[in-house]
Amino acid sequence: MKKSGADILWECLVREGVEVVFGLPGGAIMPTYDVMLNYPIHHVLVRHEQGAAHMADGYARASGKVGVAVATSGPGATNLVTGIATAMMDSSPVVFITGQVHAHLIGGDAFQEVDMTGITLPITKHNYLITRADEVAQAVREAFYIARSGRPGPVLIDFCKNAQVEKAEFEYPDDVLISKVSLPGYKPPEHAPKADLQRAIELIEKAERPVILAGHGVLMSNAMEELSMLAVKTHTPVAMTLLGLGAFPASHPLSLGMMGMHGEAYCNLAIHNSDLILALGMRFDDRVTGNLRNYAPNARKIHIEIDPSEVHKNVAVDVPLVGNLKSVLRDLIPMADEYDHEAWLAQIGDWRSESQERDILSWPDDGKLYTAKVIRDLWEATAGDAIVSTGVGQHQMWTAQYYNFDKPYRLITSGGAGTMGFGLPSAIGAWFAHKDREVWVVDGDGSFQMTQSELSTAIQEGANVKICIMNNHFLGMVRQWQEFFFESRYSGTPLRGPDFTKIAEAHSIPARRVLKPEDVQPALAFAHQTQGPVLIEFQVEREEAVYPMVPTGADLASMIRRPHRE
Amino acid sequence: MQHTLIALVEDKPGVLNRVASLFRRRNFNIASLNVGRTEKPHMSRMTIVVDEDGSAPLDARRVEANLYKLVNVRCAGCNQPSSRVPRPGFGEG
Repeated sequence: MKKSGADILWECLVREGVEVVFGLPGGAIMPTYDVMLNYPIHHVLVRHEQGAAHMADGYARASGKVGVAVATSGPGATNLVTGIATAMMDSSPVVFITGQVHAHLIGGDAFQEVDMTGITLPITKHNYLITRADEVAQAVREAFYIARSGRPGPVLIDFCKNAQVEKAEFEYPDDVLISKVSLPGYKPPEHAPKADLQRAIELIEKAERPVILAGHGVLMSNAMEELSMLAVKTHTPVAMTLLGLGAFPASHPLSLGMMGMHGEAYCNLAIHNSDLILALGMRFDDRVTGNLRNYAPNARKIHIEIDPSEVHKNVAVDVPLVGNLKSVLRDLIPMADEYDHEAWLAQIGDWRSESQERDILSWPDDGKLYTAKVIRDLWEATAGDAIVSTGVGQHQMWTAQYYNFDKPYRLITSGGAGTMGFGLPSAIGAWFAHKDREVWVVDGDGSFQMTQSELSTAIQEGANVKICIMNNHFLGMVRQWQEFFFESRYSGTPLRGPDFTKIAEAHSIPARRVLKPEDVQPALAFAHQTQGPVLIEFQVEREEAVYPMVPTGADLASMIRRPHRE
Repeated sequence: MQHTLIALVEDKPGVLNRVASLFRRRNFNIASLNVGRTEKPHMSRMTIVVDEDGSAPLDARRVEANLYKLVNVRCAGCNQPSSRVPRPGFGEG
């Protein structure tokens, strides 16, 4: 039976299990919006397409499903670009659908025409330009498959207006893998060769000071159980990247917390002094390694990674195991034994005690309100189990350090791209994945202002998001760098924002302001007890720094540490 | 130092653009590029000569691995049967 291209699109989305899309309509996507009303998919109208992109991304990260964002052509599409790049850098499975002018108008600078497929080539896993209605079904089927398989990532479909309106026979391609003509060049690897596994085991057996580095790949491969089995069986401590937090319970004695530029000191020291690194689903990003010339200088390295182009990209490794992390670990664990690393674990314990001594939360209360304390109170108030999204900057790092995630898929944060403004919209998206829960946003005053108009979306949808703004009246992280490396020349960092509580109230959102440490818990309780969106503004210490810090160009062991208290 | 790569790519609009964009993004320097249809239906063969730039040694394996990641690339480094880029299920050159 013949259907319009727009109808075919929705038919395919329904079959892909899509329940919600985030978007903003316009001329070039109107035919698609029109027939959307005939389908059981909920549409969330945003206030800026960047919000739609981050919402779809947050939805994907919280649910494990593919997120979907829709926009019109031209500026609607280009407003998605930041969000697409954000999803690309963090390997998030999102399908972006943008309207495009009539196929015969392409290349003629038509109204709201932009070469979106050209623009997004470097920031998508793959993209499609649909010029005919009979191309829709195959493209959508492939787009979802590519987005969620192998190393996940964003896929864009640029949908010409004529293709939306014209009709074609609708045939849903049931198995894109069977159709060998369609994706012959795309075969994500599954198992690593036995010989490589054997070489890995030999290294593991000989190691005296091993460390596991767990990254986002553990969550994407749903390999938390396997990671735990491996770590516990071999008595190996586990360090995590920012996006790997929650892959291994923070409360477990073998957990080293976060590694890298603002990671735990004892974690970085362990990595620097290790003799074997087992990198699981992580890519040795520069935030994590510090100076590559002196990175884990005495360690052999095993790298379990699904994307072959990541192997040897930043760090030359001894044994690459290319495959699906879950499958590779399942093959590896039975080959491993129990090993004794008592002395190594004791050494790490000493480093850990020293770190804790310098921790700002170990010091007596001086009446000042520190972001770290707010985060720790939030962690207690939510029993360490909340879904927490963040913006980017100091507040983001403090969240990673002080909200000890025991469970995966809880922290929703922009790692690779570091996109300010990610917090609120990604939380709204995450809420759609878990409507029975509340979602907390920890945001900075700078980050929040970038996408604060999505408060309207939150109230229109009744999203149960609790927004905590850490207001230090600065672009905090930049200010910190200026303090450390530019002799405190605060160029472009003092930030005058609005009265955030009035902004909230203008949206009919209940709000509170907190000035003192003792008011934190009551405010959090108020947010939890109030149904729907709530905003709390915390006036925090203005010139606090995130410690430890590995400055650019320094190796992991050369951290700037918080000075001991006098 | 130059490396010659042969890639088998789908004969679809925009594939050459994808490869060129990839090379720009990854900062690989193309000395020469030749692409043409082959006897295989819907497949083209690309012969790319990549230059090493003065500062960094070029890892041909890395170029291959990135090329292979493109969905439209059927095989990369097809002229190197001993290449270590894994291509499960791939059987032709």
